[in-house]
Amino acid sequence: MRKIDLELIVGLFLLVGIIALSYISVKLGKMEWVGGGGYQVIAIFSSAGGLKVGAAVEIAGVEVGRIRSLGLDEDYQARVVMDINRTVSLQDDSIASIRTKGLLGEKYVDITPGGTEEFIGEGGVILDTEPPIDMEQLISKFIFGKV
Amino acid sequence: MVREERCLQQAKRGYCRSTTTLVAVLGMALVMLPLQVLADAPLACLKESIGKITTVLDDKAFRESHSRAELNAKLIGITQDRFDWKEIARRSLGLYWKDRSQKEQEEFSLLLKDLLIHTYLDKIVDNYSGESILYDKEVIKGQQAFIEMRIINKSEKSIALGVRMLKADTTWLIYDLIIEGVSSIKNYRVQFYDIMRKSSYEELINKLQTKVQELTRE
Repeated sequence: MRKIDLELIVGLFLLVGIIALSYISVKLGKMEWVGGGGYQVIAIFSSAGGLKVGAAVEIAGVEVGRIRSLGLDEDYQARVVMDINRTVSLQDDSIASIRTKGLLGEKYVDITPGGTEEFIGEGGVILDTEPPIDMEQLISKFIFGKV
Repeated sequence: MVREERCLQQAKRGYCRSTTTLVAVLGMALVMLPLQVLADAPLACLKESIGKITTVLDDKAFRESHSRAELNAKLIGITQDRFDWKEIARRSLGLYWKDRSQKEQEEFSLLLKDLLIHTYLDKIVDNYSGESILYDKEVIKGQQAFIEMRIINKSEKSIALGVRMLKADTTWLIYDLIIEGVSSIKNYRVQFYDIMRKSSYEELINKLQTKVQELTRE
């Protein structure tokens, strides 16, 4: 009887350990539990160079979501699926831009809210987008442009 | 003789019947045509306007025989109908558009139109030197269209230009230009939000008026 109790306690301890470990890995990995608690919005970019799954989606520097997946649409444009927090509503003329944190930092999506009274729902699409700015190309144009 | 008349009547009846059938088939075909086919394609609308502009700019005789003001007036006449000025103003003012009265919205649209025309017109007239345009892609999604193109100068350097258009009845109107990945609407929206948050709508109008006066004086 005493042996069973000991095994039970060890088993329970192991189970709690596994649950705690998976919770920490999900939180540290900034992954979401099934469902995520957000709604999906799709943004179509002419190019999504450098953007990665899990990158932040921000409004005024505040994180409001994350990139769920990247793919191509039927017109060979970049189709970026974002998980947006349910507390944030996006107007249907919002503009999504791919920006870089600092000069060489990671890419993220910056959303500038629009002014319509119609909001983007689950699975809605943002067509007004800005692709990432190619700094190297711009600098070279600035330097060598007036040849 | 009687048989000939009968033959003629039968032939006429047959002709009438075939004409009616033809009209019916044509009517059906027109009804079944998607509306998009009846409207001009966005790329065709854009090419038409750009073609008219470059024809005027390439016409050396016209440029020499007319004053700069006349040349500008002609170019404004060609371009102004291809842009959806109200949409540009609405999207640029964004969050603050719905708080404005109808009169203020109209005033703002006219002012922004003046600003945009005078900002870009002189740049185009002064810097145009027979650049060629390559149209890369036309993407239509519902009522919106996006056209990707490149402007190539004589030393083979190119500038990427994106044009966003909205469908308006049977034509397509421009509401945003994306130059080297930078949206003009986004650029103005960010600046207008900043002014509106720090000061007021009146201050924004003052700034726009001052800028337009500076540009028209030059």
